[in-house]
Amino acid sequence: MGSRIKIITILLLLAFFLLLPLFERDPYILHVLIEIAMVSLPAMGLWLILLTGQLSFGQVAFVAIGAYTSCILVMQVGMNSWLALPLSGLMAGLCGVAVGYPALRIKGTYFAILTLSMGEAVSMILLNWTGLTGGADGIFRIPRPNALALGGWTLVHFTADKVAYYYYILALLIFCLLVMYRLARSHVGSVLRAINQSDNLAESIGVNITRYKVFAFSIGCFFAGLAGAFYTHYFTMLHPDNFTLWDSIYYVVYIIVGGANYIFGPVLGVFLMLGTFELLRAVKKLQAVTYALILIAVILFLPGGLMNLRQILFPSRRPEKEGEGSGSRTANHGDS
Amino acid sequence: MEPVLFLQAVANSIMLGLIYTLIALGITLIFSIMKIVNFAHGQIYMLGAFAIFYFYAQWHINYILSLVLSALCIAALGAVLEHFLFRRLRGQELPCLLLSLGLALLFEGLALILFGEKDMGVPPPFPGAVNVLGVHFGMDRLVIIFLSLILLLALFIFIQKFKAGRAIRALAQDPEAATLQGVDINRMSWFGFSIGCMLAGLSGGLLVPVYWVSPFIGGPAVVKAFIVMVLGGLGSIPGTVLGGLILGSIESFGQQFLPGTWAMAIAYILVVLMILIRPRGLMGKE
Amino acid sequence: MVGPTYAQKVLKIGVLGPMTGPASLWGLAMQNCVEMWAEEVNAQGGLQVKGEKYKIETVTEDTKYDAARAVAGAEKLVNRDKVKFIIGTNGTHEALAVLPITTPAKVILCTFCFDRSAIGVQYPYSFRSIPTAYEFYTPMYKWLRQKYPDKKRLVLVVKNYAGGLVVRDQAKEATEKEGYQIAGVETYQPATTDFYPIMTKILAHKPEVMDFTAASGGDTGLLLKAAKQLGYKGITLQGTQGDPGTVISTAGKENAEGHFFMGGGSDEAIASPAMIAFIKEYSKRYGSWNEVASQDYYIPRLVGLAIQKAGTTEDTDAIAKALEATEIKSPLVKGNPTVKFAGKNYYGRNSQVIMPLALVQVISGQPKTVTVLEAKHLN
Repeated sequence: MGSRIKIITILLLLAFFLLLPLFERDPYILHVLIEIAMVSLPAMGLWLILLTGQLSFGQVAFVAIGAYTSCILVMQVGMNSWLALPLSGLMAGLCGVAVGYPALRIKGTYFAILTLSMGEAVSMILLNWTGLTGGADGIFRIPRPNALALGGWTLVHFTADKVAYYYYILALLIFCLLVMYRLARSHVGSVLRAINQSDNLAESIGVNITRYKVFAFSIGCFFAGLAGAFYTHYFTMLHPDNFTLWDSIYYVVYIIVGGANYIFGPVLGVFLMLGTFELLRAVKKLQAVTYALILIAVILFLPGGLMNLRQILFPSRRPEKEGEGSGSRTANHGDS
Repeated sequence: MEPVLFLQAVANSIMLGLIYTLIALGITLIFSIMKIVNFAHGQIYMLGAFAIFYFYAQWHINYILSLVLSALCIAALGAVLEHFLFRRLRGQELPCLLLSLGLALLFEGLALILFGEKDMGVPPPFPGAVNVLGVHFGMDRLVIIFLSLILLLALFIFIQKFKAGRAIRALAQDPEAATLQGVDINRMSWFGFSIGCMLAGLSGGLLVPVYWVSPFIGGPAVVKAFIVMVLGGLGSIPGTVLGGLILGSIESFGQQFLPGTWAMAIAYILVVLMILIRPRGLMGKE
Repeated sequence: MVGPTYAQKVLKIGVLGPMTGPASLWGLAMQNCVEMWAEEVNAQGGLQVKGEKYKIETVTEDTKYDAARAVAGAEKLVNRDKVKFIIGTNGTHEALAVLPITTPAKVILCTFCFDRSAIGVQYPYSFRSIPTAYEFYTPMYKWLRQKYPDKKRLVLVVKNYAGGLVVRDQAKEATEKEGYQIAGVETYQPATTDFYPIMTKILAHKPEVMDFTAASGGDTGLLLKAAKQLGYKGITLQGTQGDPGTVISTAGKENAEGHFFMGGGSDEAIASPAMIAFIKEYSKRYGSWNEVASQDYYIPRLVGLAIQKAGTTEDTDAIAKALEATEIKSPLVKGNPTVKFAGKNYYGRNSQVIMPLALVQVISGQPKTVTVLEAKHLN
């Protein structure tokens, strides 16, 4: 019963967002939606990392790696941006493997501080390695994505117009959501859930914990890399200041606010926080304060995040086969 | 390199190191008792600095008296935060961390509205500089070093000799055992958190004459506090001193010998390595 | 019934910059100046353009000194609010992110960033609202050379951000022309709080002149304090406007003594009564005076004049052309010198505002104007 309604809701939402550019032409609205989708990707990556029971505060470093990789591949190697896209994701993913193997043995708060420091280290390196990144000068006038052509017919041109970018990021978003879904339901997902419950138990059954954790971690970094590549050719400029610790922190905030147990949690979290942010433009100086108050309120009163609101509003409903809405350190990641 | 310059770099390391130790004390204390990483530590440091700005620079109250007043105010703030907010989430690592994050954002936003955006300095309470064998020390720094050492000593004695201090230490080492021995967790958590915040605020107040105050000084401060805490050892006061000195030396010598701004990158890489190799830090317990 | 019996036409002016966060010092000064101008104009019934009076309405967007937020703000201003004039973008990264939006939309952008190309021929609707170090350094170093002919060893202290690097290059150009020997260029990270280490390194070069280039107010104060406490006795200066209040209070009076910087004109030696009144009004409205505002004062007025000259509020091609030739006599500085756009020989268009710049020195704890410099090398 419930799952049929779920599927219909998802399909309706999908149709809505696919058709939206037909009746909403305002570039500002499109830009906000694009930004939401773009920021959702690393947040979703973080969700996958959370599957391992760890919380990373360095996710933005992988976005940066993806961004600069794509920039270099396109501008210096002359590669087609569509080939650079998966390669940038791959680069970020590989860095994720390199970082993950040693790092994922560390638990809890230590892991959080480790990833935070690692993220900052990457930030400093980006600022100082002027040969690669241009340092504080930044890199400008980066080319837009190559036009998509099929047998000599140009299908999509990328210009300052937002619509093409909108569909591009939407495609990436759907792709990542599908990956998350398959992963959560797959064998890997069950193993990760088991590891989350109890490391020792899983290990005693002969599971190579680290390998699974690294796998999930690197996919999470891959998502971040894809977002970075999109970022580069959308803003056509790169500057180390665009990838800061606050970004990493906000990804965590989005997941928590949206609901760490649900696949759509990250997107919902980003949508709500960024949307609120834009809506609050009128309130100017109070914007930061309001944002902070929302966050605190959610933490204190809505521990499962906003996706749990349904549970709270309609408490008589029989809880479905979803994970517990605890939203605390161990996320159970049920379906939905 | 000239010996004088080298000595100056050493002196800089010690001065910087003790300053960082001072900043990190509060966050270390709170982490050791309640296992909470207090992201709002930086903003509380900032509020302590503003308290001094108003008491001392604007209302012309004696500097030392201002320090005492601001310490009391910030401690009160800490008590309120613990009682009404953190207590609800006791035991939940992640939500506490996120709550402290929310508070950090809140305080910075409020500070911007209340105090304005400009960097502001205060008249120097201890002006001048001292020259010893070609090595220079600002007078204000010397006094702050002196005051911080007294503070460290006081803290150390408190934790070793006084009942409340020992209770805090017991809580830090083993909460269950401590409770069994009659330590009132509620009261001690509240007390410990207040002391931790007070230390953060005091460090802000002590450092205003050396640096400056604005709503934005909190962010960099808390990140440095993290580094010190990790390097030196969570929950250990001597460890915090060691961590501070290490960071101070990296910055001081790093600036001296490395091009551009690689010194901080190295500090972070060291933190990463430290956590990987020895997560409890150089002198941490556990 | 008293009052207009028709709905008055509205002229929307966009304001885009960092209104919160550490860079808000610049953004807020800019916004406040635009607001004050708008009120002044509206109090007289509105901006008179070809027989019609337009009420000025300002729409502000906060960029938080972030490129993505700047883009969102620009999109909103251009496409939703449909403004044709944006006063703003303070950082190079902000400006260069926003120009691809404003240029095809033919929106006039009055930026405050220091990047040379941002006001070049490829961005025909872009103007710079304030002087950069380039306009200041050439006459300043000439003057310094004459005043202290034997002080030739120079160290540049550079804050590692886009604006900082631009000013560094401008300083190099100007000092080499005047025969200074650059003994070292030391760069520091923006989040630096303690300047003892870097100052130790700087002093190792044995400089006679120390140029803090684009250091911000708080940084400058601490650099001065560190320099003096570590025994430096030479000349210190910077190529940008430091907020003198912040510099002096952060450094301490003795340590700030003798420091040179680009002044805004609030010094009584050159300030006219109108400037005093402006400072008073500004402080009353916004809590305290911000020296940056003494330069931000001009741009909304220049834009208003250009609109009037072109006789249209819509045709930005005409207005841009008019703006390049617009000038006003400054009411804030004694002698009412001319403020106008110039720079075709260096920037490609007359898109750089030039104004007489006070060279200010801290004397007995107060900023005092030593001389007034003009950017004659730009035409």
